[in-house]
Amino acid sequence: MCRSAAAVLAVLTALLCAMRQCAAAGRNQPLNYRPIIGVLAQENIPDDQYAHGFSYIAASYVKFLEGAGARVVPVRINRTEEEYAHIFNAINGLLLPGGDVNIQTSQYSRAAKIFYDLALKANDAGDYFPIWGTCQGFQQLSVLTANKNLLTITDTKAVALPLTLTPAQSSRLFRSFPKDLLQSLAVENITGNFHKWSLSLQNYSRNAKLKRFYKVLSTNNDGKKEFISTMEAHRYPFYAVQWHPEKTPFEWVDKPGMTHSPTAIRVSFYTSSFFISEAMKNQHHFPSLVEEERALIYNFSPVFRGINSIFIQNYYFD
Amino acid sequence: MEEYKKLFNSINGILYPGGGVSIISSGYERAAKIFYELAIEANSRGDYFPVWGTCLGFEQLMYLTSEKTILLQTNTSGMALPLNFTNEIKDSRMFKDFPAELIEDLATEALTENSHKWSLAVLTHNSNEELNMFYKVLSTNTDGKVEFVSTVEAYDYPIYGTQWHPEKNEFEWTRPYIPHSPSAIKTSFYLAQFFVSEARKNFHKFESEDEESKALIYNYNPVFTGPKSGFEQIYFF
Repeated sequence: MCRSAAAVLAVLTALLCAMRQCAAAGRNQPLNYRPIIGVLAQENIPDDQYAHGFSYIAASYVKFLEGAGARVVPVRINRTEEEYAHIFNAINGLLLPGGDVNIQTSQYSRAAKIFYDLALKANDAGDYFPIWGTCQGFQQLSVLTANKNLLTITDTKAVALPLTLTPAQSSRLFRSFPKDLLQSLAVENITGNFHKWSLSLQNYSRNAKLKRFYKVLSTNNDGKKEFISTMEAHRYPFYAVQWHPEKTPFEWVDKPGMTHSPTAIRVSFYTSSFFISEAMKNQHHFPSLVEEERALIYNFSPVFRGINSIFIQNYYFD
Repeated sequence: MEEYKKLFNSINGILYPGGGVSIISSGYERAAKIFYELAIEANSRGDYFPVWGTCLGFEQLMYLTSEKTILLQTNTSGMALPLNFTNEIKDSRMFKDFPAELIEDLATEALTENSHKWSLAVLTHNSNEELNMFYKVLSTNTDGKVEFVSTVEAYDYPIYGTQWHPEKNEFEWTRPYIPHSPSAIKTSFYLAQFFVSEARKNFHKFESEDEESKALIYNYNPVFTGPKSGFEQIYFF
């Protein structure tokens, strides 16, 4: 009698744990205080006069992660699946940056899909691996999950907005923010929007795959349409923002949508800090110190593109 | 001197980093003295100009203010410590905006990296009139023998110093005693945020966009020195 009750309890607990990602979070494992995050490169912008090689990473993404306590490894495009699998097993998280490539046919999107699939599999097996998508990265994640492009045009090319936070939803991302900062986020124009496309709330709601996979954390409105500005996956450590937290401390082009207020800087830090604390739950590491050293972005020098450039510094890769 | 004056009037704050040069006679010391005096003069006439000193920079400030060599050797090369806050932090500018939990963490966890052979003993500070009239001691630490000053802010000037290294928590990975916990990172962020907020009170700017552009560090690329040194990257000039 006791034993079968205990068995039932064990099964129930296991179920609850699976639902709350207990195993995936590796609760009993110590945190990894030396996280290394991969940042995916993308094809060079066609008329970029500073470009060399084939691909680039804007330095602001690197600084965004370093400033909250992680080291960075650039993940190149045009690599084999085996090479990507090898990198995946060495790093503790992946960031998909903003940009302007085709999120269904580019090398960026090919690599993103490979890592997305690897991450799903890993998380399912209890190997906690977080992914962060900013702007184009957000859009990329939506395409990967829905298996189609559901984006629509919005009037959001250069504007700083507050966030309309989804009420009564306890999110992992925003739970880590101080209350006063959330209050500021809800009323101050501190999230920079530089996108022509968005995932409308309508398209999200009408797509079963998206709805099942992602929880909406905040929306915004361009005057005509409501679109998703922040989301996180229900059952995976995947997070996405349509706005740009990395620009407020690290990009200085003077144009609409750009802000450097202290609150905006704090938002940037807490955003990055949260993602890195997720990466600390991953125990991957490079097979050797030498390989780790060779992979780090310290081996590369960014190019100064001028104080009026949309990216003040870019790393370029062959 | 003229070049430094021009630069002073273009920037909004200055930071004296850690290192190992002489605080009595070196290129670093000479420049530090010039900027310190310019800052004192500017602040005195209402031109708010903040100065930050980390480790050697902190020691440099102590030397500039007291005009005496007053450091003691301590056994503090390569360890992380909590901070023993004094009563003065209640009204301090530096820690005013720190979340209460972070102050608690700083006081109980080893979040501050110490890699210095010399320190300013509390006794020395208290008995030196120039120093104790100028600086408010916000935290102290001890190596088991000597109680030394670890964090200060000037009473009447936006001049700040730490004997420890907040910048290492996020950015340096070559030594095992550098703390990287979320609280350690937050400490660094909040301190940097504080100093930058002080710099926002200054309205100096470069004479032209071109001059500003030429001066910025983006023009330089650091060398990856991590495998061979205590610094991941060093800018050489």
